[in-house]
Amino acid sequence: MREKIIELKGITKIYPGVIANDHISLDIEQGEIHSLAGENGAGKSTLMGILYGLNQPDEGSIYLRGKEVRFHSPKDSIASGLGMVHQHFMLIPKFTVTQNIILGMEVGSRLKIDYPKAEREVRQLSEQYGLGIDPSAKVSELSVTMQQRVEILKILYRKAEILIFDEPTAVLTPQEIDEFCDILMRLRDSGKTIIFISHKLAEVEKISDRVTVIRRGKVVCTKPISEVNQAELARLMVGREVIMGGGERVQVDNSEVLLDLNNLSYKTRQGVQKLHQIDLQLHRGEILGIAGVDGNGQEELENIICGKLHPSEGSLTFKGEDISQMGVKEIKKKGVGVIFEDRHKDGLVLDFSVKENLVLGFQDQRRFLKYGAFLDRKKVDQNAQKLQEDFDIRCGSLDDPAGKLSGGNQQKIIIAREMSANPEMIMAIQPTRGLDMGAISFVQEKLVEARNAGKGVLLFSLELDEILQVSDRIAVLFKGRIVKVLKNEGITKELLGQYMLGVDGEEDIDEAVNR
Amino acid sequence: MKQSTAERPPSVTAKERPTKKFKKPSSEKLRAMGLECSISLIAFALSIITGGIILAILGVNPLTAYASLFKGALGTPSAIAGTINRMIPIILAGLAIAVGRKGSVFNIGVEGQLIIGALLGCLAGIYLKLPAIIHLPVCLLCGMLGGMAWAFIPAWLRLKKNVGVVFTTIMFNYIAKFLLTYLVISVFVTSGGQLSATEKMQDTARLPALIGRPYNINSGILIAVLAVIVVYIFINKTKWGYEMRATGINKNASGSAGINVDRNMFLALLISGALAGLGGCLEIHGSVFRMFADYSPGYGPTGIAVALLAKSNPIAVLLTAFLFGAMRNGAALMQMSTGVSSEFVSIVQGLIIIFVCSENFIRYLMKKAQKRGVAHA
Repeated sequence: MREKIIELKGITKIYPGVIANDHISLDIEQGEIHSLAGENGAGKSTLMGILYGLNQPDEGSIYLRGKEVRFHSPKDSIASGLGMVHQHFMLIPKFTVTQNIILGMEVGSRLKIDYPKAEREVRQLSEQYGLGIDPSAKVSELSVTMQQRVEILKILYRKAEILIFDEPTAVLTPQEIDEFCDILMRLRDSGKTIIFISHKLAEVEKISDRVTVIRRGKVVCTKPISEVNQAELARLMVGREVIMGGGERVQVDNSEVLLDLNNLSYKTRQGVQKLHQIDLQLHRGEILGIAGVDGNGQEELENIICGKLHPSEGSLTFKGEDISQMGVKEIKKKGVGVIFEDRHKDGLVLDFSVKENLVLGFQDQRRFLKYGAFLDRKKVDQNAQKLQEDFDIRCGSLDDPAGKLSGGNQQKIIIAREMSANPEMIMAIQPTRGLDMGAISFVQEKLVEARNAGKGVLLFSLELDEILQVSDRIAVLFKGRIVKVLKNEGITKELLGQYMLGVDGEEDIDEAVNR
Repeated sequence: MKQSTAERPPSVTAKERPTKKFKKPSSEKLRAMGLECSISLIAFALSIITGGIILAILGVNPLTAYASLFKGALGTPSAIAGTINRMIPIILAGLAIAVGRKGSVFNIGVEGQLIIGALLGCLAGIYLKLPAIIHLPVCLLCGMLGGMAWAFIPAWLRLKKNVGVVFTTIMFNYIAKFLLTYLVISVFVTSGGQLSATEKMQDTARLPALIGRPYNINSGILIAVLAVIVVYIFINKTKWGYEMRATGINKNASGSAGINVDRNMFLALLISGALAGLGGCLEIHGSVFRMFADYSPGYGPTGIAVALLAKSNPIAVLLTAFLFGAMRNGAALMQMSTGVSSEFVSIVQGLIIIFVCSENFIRYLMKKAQKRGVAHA
């Protein structure tokens, strides 16, 4: 048996009203990838914060290579060979990669930083682990994946032996996730110990040696990955059976075209053609999934449909009416509800209370007003209570700021609000991003419910699994064109992946790969 | 919190929770409000202490200086009357800043808008011939329009050319100041003497005293309080206020929800300008009755301090404006009896801005104090 490099014994952390960690005991072995799996709020990040010295435990002890240690701050843990890559990067965009990496431990004399030497060291580290980073590039010019690798380099440069990753794949696209997994395995093979926090089970299964499942602050079990499968892990994490795909679908009349895009093109002000002659019809009673690698025109298409942008050419009609020149508000009024991708940026005003957020965008509708100008508190309260019941929004009080709620409950606020206006069409953009499994299945159920009620649902998602689980039809977007529209019958992930890379579409494969 | 309800059957939770939570006043909200208040109070206390240290360095006993400041501000009935009169324009300057901030616009141009508003109101008071009952309201309206007009150009530039409001409004402060000087020296000169000032306005345009001699409390205070109430209702109770607040906090989410973000910022700046103009008018029509060169009382910066200390809450603006009015009013006596320049009040004002902006530092201190308290217990 391998050496136990870290032992956590009886770690307990109590926050007002919540036991975040309840006597958690856990061993990490030298040179393994150990996954911590659990739903959002299960206590994974708290536990790692304690290990890393960000928080102090109320009870329990930490042993490093058999010796009891106490980390008062990350400074201590870094000195002991730990390193953490946070979910939100801590980089200075205007600095170069090297400058970011050596920040706080600059090489050279007291007055002058020896950049050439630092750059050499960074380059060497990058090559050693196959990270492919240019040390002199500016961080602001790097993609998210590359920025993440800079974070990894940062802790490697600090001679970390134990690497903690907090939900590292939440910000990555499927392709990037694969590459990221390769990097982790390479790090392990060179002798590093890795703790991987995630609730995405496919990745957990793919790369871990062992997995520990945490639910509601307690360890459910620790097992070698060979002894569990994804379905079992999901059950352990949630504590009950979870079914994806949104539940039962009823036969509905889906002959009527709701949203009709005809020969629609979009060119930016700089003259870049983002969308090419798009023809697409969304019917009542169907979920149309838009699949595609990120950045193939999704954002422009979404913005045109919701009214933030206007097409340069072609027509866009909703229930036969031209909406191509309408603004956000008008299109909303016509009966289009939008679930935006970024909850914090576009979906919610985080400092507003839950009930205020539940009327956002409808604040000028008669149903919430008295004398035509004043928001009627009673009606706003009633609306909030009703939606809280219908959508099971869990919060301490409806007066709490929305920012205090968990991601899943924040998403429920948005869905509840958009559905409350009884729209005829819903555009859902990455509606389950960053949510845990319980919340994902809830969101999917609501989408299917809307479909069953004869509404049209347009689903943009980067998760192939989700597209395949939920859609009735799938349209593939590639380089601003709809290259394929398929019925979701017997389609495999691999096939869809190929279409997404332009194979069998109008583009040839070489061009797709060299993109 | 989330964990505890996670496994209850949904049907039960759904029925229980809302009714229970709704009857209770949200203690969470009260606590948050308490925290906000205590941060402002601590910031104020720190400013007073730092000011005291500065006094001590100057060789003045801080206690005597503050005592005379207090006495000058609130020591006698006429001192209180003076403080009330002083706070009128300060209330409106503070409100102007607060409204702008709610709509995410930092209106540094309050000073200039206040000058132009006062000037326009004053000219209407001098040259319009109207019956008493409508003359004053028309003057106040002119003042508001003047302030609004002075805010309009920066607002328009922001909307059409995306020019930063902070820069344009600062520049417009200077333009207002020198425009005023030019006008009172060479256009609207008084016939009476060599003063660089306008004529005195007609009696019909003057604000009546609320309480007459010897105290002379200006009835402008009623209008100022009314403005506070109207602004409070507008911001917190109307759909427009809702949109403005949403825009102020998150422009993206507001835009995505169909709120016209540009229009709301534009509106916030115009309302802010109108309030500033009204503030200038109330002072001129209440106690000075004419415009003169160098009418630049520094209400703009004071308004910033007032609004910051009040966390842009209109009701709290009333309290903080009282504080600043008192300090300004007491400064004269302090200067007479201890020799400390009345400009010392501006130092305290600056300190308040600094300490309110170091909110995180205060939070840190409070957290530390709390921890120590726990450890002792």
